[in-house]
Amino acid sequence: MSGIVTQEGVAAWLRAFAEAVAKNREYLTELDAAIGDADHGSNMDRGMQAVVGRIDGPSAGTAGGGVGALLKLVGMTLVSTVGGAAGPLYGTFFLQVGKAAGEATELTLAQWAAALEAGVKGVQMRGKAVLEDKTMVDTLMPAAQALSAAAASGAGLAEALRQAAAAAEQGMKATIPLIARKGRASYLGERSAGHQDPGATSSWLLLQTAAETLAAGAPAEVPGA
Amino acid sequence: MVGLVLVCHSAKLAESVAELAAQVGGGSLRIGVAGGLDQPGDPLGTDASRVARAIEEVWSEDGVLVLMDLGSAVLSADLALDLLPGERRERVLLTEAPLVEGAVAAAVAAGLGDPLQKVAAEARGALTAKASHFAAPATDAASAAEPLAPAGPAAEAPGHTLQIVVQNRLGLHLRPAALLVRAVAGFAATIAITNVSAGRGPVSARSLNAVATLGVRHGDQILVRASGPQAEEALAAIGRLAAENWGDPRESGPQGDEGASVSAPSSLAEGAALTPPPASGTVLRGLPASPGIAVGPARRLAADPVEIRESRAEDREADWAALQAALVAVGVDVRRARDSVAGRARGSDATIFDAHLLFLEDEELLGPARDGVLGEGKSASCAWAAAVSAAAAAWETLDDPYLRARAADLRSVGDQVLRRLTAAPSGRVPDGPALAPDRPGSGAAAGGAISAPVGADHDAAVIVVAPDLTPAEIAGLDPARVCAVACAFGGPTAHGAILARSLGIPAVVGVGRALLGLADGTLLALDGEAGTVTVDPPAVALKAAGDRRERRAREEAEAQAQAHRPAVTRDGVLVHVAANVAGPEDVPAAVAAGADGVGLLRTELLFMEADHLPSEDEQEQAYRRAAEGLGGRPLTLRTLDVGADKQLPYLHLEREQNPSLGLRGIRLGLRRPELLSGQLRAALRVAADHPVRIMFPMVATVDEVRLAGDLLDEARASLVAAGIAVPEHVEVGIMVEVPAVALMVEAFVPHVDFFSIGTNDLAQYVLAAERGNAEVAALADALHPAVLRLIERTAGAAAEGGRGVAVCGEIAGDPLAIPVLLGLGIAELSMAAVRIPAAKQAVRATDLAAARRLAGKALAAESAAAVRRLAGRR
Repeated sequence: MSGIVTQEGVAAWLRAFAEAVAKNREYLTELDAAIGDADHGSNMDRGMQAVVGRIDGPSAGTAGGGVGALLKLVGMTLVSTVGGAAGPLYGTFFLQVGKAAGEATELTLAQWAAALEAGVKGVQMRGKAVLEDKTMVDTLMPAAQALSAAAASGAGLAEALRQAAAAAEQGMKATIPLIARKGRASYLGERSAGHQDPGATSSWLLLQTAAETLAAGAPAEVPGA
Repeated sequence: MVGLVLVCHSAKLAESVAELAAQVGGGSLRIGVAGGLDQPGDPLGTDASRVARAIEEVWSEDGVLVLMDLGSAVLSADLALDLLPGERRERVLLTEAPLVEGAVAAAVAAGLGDPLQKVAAEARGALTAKASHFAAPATDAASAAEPLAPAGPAAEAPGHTLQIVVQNRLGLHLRPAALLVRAVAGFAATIAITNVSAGRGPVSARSLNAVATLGVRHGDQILVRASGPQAEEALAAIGRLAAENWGDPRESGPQGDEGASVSAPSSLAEGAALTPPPASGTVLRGLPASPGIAVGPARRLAADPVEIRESRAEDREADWAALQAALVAVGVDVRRARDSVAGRARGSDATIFDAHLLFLEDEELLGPARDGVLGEGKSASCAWAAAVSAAAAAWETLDDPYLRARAADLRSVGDQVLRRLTAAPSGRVPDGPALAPDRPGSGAAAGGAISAPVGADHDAAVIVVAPDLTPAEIAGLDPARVCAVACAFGGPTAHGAILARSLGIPAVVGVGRALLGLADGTLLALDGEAGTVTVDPPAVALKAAGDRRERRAREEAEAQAQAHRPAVTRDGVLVHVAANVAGPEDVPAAVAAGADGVGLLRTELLFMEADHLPSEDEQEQAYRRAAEGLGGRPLTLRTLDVGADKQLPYLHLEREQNPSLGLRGIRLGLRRPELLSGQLRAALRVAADHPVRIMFPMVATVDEVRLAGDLLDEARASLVAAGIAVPEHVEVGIMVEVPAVALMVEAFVPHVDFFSIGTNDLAQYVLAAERGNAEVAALADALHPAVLRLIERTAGAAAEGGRGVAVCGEIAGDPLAIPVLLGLGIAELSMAAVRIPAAKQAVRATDLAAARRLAGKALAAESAAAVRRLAGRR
């Protein structure tokens, strides 16, 4: 069972991500204040709180439609509640992952890795960003690639997710010296160098919480839970 | 019919643009809006699902055109397409057209039934009208500004270019650079400027610092390259500015006569910091504030460096907010200064403040400061100081000395912000080393003889040049290092000027802004009696200054020699010349200076130095020491005059909106009778053994005098009951500071034995000009005829009632004013001790009959300046 991504696992992941965003709300805003407009933390928190409210709410669409429907709900919630560029970008991510996941309620690691790759492609397509533009793509892309590579090499789900999170962390940290070429931070030109990208940071939280929760049914593994 | 959708961060913006478009689109036009978020508090932002919904609402087979503002609006609109059914997606177009212009143009086209592609093309072309409006004059302007054909590489580069030979005399110095930055601020374009002649740049035209670091001088060729939707408009604006000679006046003849043609600022009304410094030999005229002649190098009084205590931000957001608040506050201050100057100076001089304002908004400063606070966690003051320092350093690398000097402007504005941030006082008491003489060999002591011509020896000490000085700042000056003070603002009765007089530091105030343009080290000759400051005095002026100083020194020596003799006018009238003292400690100096008594013992200091209310015994000891020091000379003790600007923490007085008009002087004494009674008992005890008079300050009504007299009677009775000796009679007098008293002297005569006119406060109240407010202090000139008329009235009515009248304000010690006062009927003067010898000499030089004629003319004069002219003509 530990090799399967379940709908319950995905829901747990989303709650954990929401919690991580809430906990790091000030930190994200602080990062954004340095090179953006100081609202990433509050925007993401607002969005993820709304997400949690929906997936746990009375009108939750989790009963039917599988992982795809759940993630579509997440994506649509984010696009209408986040407000900043993170709204359409994370919205696209979840919509695309959900679309790739389809109606299944359980996904294999390979299926999940493919879905994640689709999500990342969606983000790239939406934001027209490539690697080293100092965006969330710098975190998401290496993470998706690591996940796929781990899946191809026959690693277990937990291990693959850990590797993806590690790649995400590395990618996030690699944004520090970069000069932003997309979004508000690009207005700063060279002065954007020396700051970690807030979007890349929230994306790392996404991958990190995935590693902590998505290998479902094993809450004992969740650190600090 | 094509439908329109507007995507905006703000719902209000979307709705307003829709309203505008609907007016031109006709009744059947379909416009959908997607603005803001449907969240508590209406946050700004965009919502892709709303965009999709709006598209569905206006959907028809003819299609939908979507316009948007910026950032996430673009992404949300893009995402909204994904949320639509595939077949509809084909019939929706997103456009980069400008939101307002595009919406209006598209509304017209859609209303006419044009197809989607045509409507989109109309929207994209919507800037044409605006562009052509600005483009037309640009052609003329560009030719006037001698545009050159774009060079080869420039033509290949994207965007538009403009080459200009800069024709104004000083090049793109601060003011033209500020105009340039402001001119392009509104255009959506990326604009880069290169100084082709100097090989500097390209830099952004949006940063004042960046533009100025190009070091563009007269005759330099600059290349402006612009790209983006409004590139052409931006270039046109720059072309126009060039055609207008960058806001500078045009020179008619060939340039070359250097600074003289533009710089002759000599009054308060002229000269902003940007005005080139006053030329050699210029005589700057101000108001005489403290007599004496000095020659020495100018030393601009450096502000105490602001101490930055916190290097790390505890709360980055809070620090960033604090910095922004400080920037806003300083902006308000600068605008206020600009408006104040604009009323008095030529228009162009006020624009220096616009440049200062631009510093406050300059990304070259704000960016690093923001990074420092929010990114690196530095404290706001630390990050700001670093940003200012770096930018100023960049200025200082420039070749042009004039531009280099602008670093001072930047540092000055930066400093204002720092002071705001750290709540540091603007106190600028110089420390020793900062004011050490420039030239090591220039002599050790102040007062070295001036006999050699230009460039030779001068006073070892410096002449401090400052906008204005507070008493604390004056008090902090070291007389060994500072031989004189010149202030751009302020009046002779400001507290700082009064203190300079009592310290014997020559001073001229109200010289005007031009003073502040002087470079450190510029040799100055200052005449504290004439009120002049001569810049880089030529040999003949130096000689004159030296002669005058020698003569003055002789006069002083003579006055000092005669100081202990009575002051008798030429026609034989004795004038009592007394000292104003702040406590028993001052009495020996007063006696040494030749005081015939103490005309005003201020008792505030005793109370202000204590952390508790001084007891009756403590007071008695202090007053007794003062009386004993006088060796039988009369002592006039004024009861406590706190309130106003002098506060006593242990009294817990309410902070007042307008303390000069508030609970001060006798008003406070009657409100807190325990204060006054203790003081009266202490005074009475001393009066039993010494010639002590009691005087009440800030009296306005007869009732107050009556009530104070009752308290005095009670005090006497209580002392008698306790078996303590009291004098049979103590003379009681009042200060004449409130105009009402001067106008009602007759009513007071039955209740008092004497009057003493406090001309400083009287002038302040008559002219409604607060002495401590540098902006208006100069108005409160006690030689104003309105004040003189009240003095005359007081003297006349008091004499009729057989009461004596003294003057204890600053003019009492002014040799210029003394004949006027004597002519008005004053026979007692009280002043700072150092002024007594010269004042006695002035009395001795006065013929009372001539003084009465002079006073008559002064009463009829129309201004204080006219009185000063009359008095100076003797």
